[in-house]
Amino acid sequence: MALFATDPGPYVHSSHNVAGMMRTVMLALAPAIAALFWLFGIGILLNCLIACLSCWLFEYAMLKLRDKPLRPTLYDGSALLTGLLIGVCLPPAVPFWLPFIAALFAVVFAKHLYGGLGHNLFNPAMAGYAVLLVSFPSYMGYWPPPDLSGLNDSLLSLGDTLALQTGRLTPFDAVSSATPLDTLKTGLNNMQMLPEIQTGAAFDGFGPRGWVWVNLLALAGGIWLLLRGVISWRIPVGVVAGLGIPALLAWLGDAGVNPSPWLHWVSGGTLLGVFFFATDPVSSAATPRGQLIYGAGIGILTWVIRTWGAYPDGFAFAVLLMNLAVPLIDRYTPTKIYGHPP
Amino acid sequence: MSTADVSWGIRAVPRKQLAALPPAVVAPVPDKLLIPLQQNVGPASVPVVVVGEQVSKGQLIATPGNSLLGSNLHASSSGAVTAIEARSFGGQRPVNTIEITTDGLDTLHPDCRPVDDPFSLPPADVLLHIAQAGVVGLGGALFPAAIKLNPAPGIDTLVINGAECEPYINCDNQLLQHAANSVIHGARIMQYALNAATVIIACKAEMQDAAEAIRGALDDVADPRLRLTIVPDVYPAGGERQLIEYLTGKQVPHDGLPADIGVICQNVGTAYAVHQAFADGLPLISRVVTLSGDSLKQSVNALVRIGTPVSNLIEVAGGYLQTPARMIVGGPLMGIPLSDDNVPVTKACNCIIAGDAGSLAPAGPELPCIRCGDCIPVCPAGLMPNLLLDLQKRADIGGLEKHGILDCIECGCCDYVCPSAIPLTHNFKAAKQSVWEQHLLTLRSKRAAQRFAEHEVRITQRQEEELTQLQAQTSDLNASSSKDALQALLQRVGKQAPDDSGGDS
Repeated sequence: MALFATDPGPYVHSSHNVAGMMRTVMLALAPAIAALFWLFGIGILLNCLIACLSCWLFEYAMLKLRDKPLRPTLYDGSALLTGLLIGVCLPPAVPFWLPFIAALFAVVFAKHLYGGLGHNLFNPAMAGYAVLLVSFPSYMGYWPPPDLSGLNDSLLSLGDTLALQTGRLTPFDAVSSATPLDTLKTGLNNMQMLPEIQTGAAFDGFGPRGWVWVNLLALAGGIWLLLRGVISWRIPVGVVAGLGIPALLAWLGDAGVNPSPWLHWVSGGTLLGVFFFATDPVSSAATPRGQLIYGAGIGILTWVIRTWGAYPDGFAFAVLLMNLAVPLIDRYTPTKIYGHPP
Repeated sequence: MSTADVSWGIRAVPRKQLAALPPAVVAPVPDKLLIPLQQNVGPASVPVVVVGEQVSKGQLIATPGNSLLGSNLHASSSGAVTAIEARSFGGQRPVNTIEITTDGLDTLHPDCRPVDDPFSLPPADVLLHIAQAGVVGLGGALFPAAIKLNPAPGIDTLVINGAECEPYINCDNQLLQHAANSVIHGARIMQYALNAATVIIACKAEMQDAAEAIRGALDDVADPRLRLTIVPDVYPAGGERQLIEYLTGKQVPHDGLPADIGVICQNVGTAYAVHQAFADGLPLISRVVTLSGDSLKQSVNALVRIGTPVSNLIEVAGGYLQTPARMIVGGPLMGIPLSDDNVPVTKACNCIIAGDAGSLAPAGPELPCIRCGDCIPVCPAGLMPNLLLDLQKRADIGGLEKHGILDCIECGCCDYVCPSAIPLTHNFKAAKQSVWEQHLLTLRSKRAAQRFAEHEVRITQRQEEELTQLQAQTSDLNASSSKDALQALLQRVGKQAPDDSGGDS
């Protein structure tokens, strides 16, 4: 008589697992990171590196402090992904302690103080980035003009970047230029019309100069994630529609002062946010209808902040505000149970 | 008919069904048949044979006794009853079991005679014959078929469920490919008993050869009331409630039965058993069992006598390739693990899988729920497993019930997709248990409260009665102490009562 294991089933499982999901998301992020590197230089990669190392370090420290097993969470890639997501938000030549502080807030405050993986109310990377956005607004504007030539002659050298990041070099004017969204906001505040603004250096035929490519490559990565079944279509569609529909209505009303949906979609890090920040499973809505509402809320809030807010881009705040609404959204969007009256 | 898709369920389950299956291998008669007395929902059957008694194949050996939900059991070969005692099989809890030591002659009992024309019998007699043949739902539920076929009037549709959907299992597919005519015959007998207007035979899109065989059998019958419907290759399309919704567009009420919406669903194997009961006069003493898994030399479908130990069946599949890590009765999603192979095949046993640790593996180490919500769209019952898990952790019985824990069909789809490897179904089985226990407690406390209330009422009543009695006595006394009593007394002694108004006092 043979003896067999009798642990409970099911005994077949899909290949989906948390670590695999994180790896896939990191891979999907690679094209957008490559675009940022191409346009803005080595500083992007250094930021990613610092943020990843800090996140991993804080993850380790918090797991130790909280007396939690290291194995499952430290190696599931969630901390590294948080680091990468912080890295893609930051301008290329910020002091090295900025990604470090963002990582601290993301991992220690937003993630572990709420209970660790699966328990955080806010998207950790977004929370870390928002802290920098409100605490160090001047540094957060250090975006150099994108270099599309591929010659990298106008880009900062590794030496200059390092000098800037370590504070040995103070930022000079050439380092930063207004981002397209900044230009839009300033221009509109100065009673300029959109067609005038768009003739400036921050724009080209495709839209916001350079940023179009970051967003389109993020879209490519996002579509790959959709095909791989790592994210559902509901949140991205919700955000794109939530941002696009009010933008379209306003643009149809007065194209002179209201940017088109296209301009909204490809400006700043919109599509990067749509596929990589809004879709964070832990801090987003879980129910199917809830995901659409959550996405739409992010889109609408982004449009509202961009249109009337003080910040040129409102994506991060839109995500954090909708994170707050998630428990409520999930509660009021239950599924219909089979055989129960609707 | 086109195969519309459904939103729930899982699609990419490994091990799809084989298209063309060879005929079933007939498993040899084992030395000992072990027939557990619990092979139906409801209470166990009661033996009508004694130890030492000679039995022949098809002879009645146990009856439902006084139970309405029970079923008959029959000897699946001839021999002597050598034990009737509680036995534990495969690590499950012990059940009373009849052991028959076979004589190898396989002598058929004289009562096993075919019924020439079931359609000339009154429907009640058809049901009686089905009940006597011990036919129960072979899809796994083991509900006595005759009872299911005898609902309140108003059944318009009989569904013959051939949409088996778990990986590995293909015994119904096999039966349809090789005995479609018999299945259709059984279906028509059940339709006759039910007086149902329509019979829908359902099989999955991937079961093309089975579908072809059904079409052929339906052509032979040429009865427009019977039709074939192809359902999508989704797990669990063969779940009774899911299948009914797919076929009729109607959902079975959560607190009701398919009969409430005019539908009765029977498994392909059940239809075949009904056919056998009439055409061959054989009670349900054998069934087709799929033997599969990486640890077996071959995957086969075998015609197995009820009571044959699994260890005897392994030879039919060519023996073990290596010692299996796990042995499962049923499919890899809903099946039950066995601790050893000395387990008899029962009427419920549709599949035995012997697999290595790689092919049959429980979920990996459990991680926290990351709220991805992947479990929600796959749930065929429309539940939110992530929420239910949370409610269970908080022991929120009311919340669990409100969010439909009792509607969980335990299909395992949520487990299948969960990236955090959380044993959701396992948790939900426990959660259901606690809800039932809570129900029981509520019922008990309600009864206790009622008892107390009635007790109070009785005490008050008694007190009131005593009070009235006392008052009556007192008033009697008051009255008697006055003139009436005095008069009575005086009458007895022969004197006149003094006049009230008179005054010689």
